[in-house]
Amino acid sequence: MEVFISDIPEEIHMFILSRLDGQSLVRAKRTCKMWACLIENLEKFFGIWLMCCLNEIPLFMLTEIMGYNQKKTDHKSLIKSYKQLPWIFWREIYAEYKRAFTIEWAKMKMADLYYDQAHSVVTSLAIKDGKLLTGHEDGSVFCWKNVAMEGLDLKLVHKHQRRVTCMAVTTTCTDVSELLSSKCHTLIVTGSQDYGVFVSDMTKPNSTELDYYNLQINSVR
Amino acid sequence: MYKKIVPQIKLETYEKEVFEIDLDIAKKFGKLVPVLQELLNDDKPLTIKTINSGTLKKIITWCTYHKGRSPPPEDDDNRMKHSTEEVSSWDDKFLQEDGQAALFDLISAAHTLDIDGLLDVACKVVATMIKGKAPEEIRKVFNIKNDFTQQEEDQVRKENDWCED
Repeated sequence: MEVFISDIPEEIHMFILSRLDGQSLVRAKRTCKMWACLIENLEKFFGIWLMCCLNEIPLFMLTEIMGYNQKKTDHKSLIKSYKQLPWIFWREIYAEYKRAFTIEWAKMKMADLYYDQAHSVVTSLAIKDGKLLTGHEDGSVFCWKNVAMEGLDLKLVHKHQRRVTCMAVTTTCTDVSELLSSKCHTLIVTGSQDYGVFVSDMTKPNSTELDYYNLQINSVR
Repeated sequence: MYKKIVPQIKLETYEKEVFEIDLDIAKKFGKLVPVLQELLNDDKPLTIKTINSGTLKKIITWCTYHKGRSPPPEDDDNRMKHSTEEVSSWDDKFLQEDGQAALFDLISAAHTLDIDGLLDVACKVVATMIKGKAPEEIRKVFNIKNDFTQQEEDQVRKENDWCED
């Protein structure tokens, strides 16, 4: 009476698969149709991605990736508010977290990369929503079409006078309802050797809120 | 003279072998406990055809080893943290020593008898076998046939482009 993995009941497959980490889950999804179907169920009805996020990503990083600054609450009500968000949101959060690792690796590789089409040495890097942002020696900040840098669909975000020294990308929202209606703003902030700081909004290029931020920074200057 | 009688229950396996199990060990059998308690005064053993003797022996060993430990309370938060707890080295060795087929037998049996603790660690052991492997390697380990067409596989791959192989 030997039992193989294909013979045991589906319920047990679910038990096993629900104990995987996110990356293995995606790989397991590609092994066979039965697992693909079961994992889809886990994603849709059992909140497996939220579990993966909570188990694998430290809480402070999670809030940073989400851009969700919750008011001080206890762990239980925090999880409760997290559960309101759709499962696909958590999958994207997880993907974002993994991409952050990729960018760390890319940073190392691209330290002295030079492109003819691009303007000069890359001095800073950031990644958001699958888009790569680069700051350059000559002060330009570019938004690349995709992470692999295949399509040279460059978009000049803004231009400093001198070298871009640092860059930060963040998504800001204040509460869950804003997140749900995807009203959040993706802001790119860059600092330069010319003492300037620029803010650009990726989602809405000409928003009044942006002017507000720029005003704030100018007053600091 | 007073003699302490340990209440025992009888289970009959697939090979028609009868096992006598102390009730305090059988307490691990979750949903089955009320059924077993009813059978306590009965001489006839409870027959479970889906479990073979070797597996039941292993289950009894496991239950005896873990007798003192009670399972953690099942609330929502606890279930979330489920997968982070490590499998103890004793469990790991105990579950893997007889090979894959025996492990799956054990999982099925643990499911039938509703032994939460055993099911949990056994599933974790299988999960660690899957972790960190490419799809092709996973298929090899578990003898799974690839029933995807190239197109379907590309589709799933595309959905999760962040996961490199």
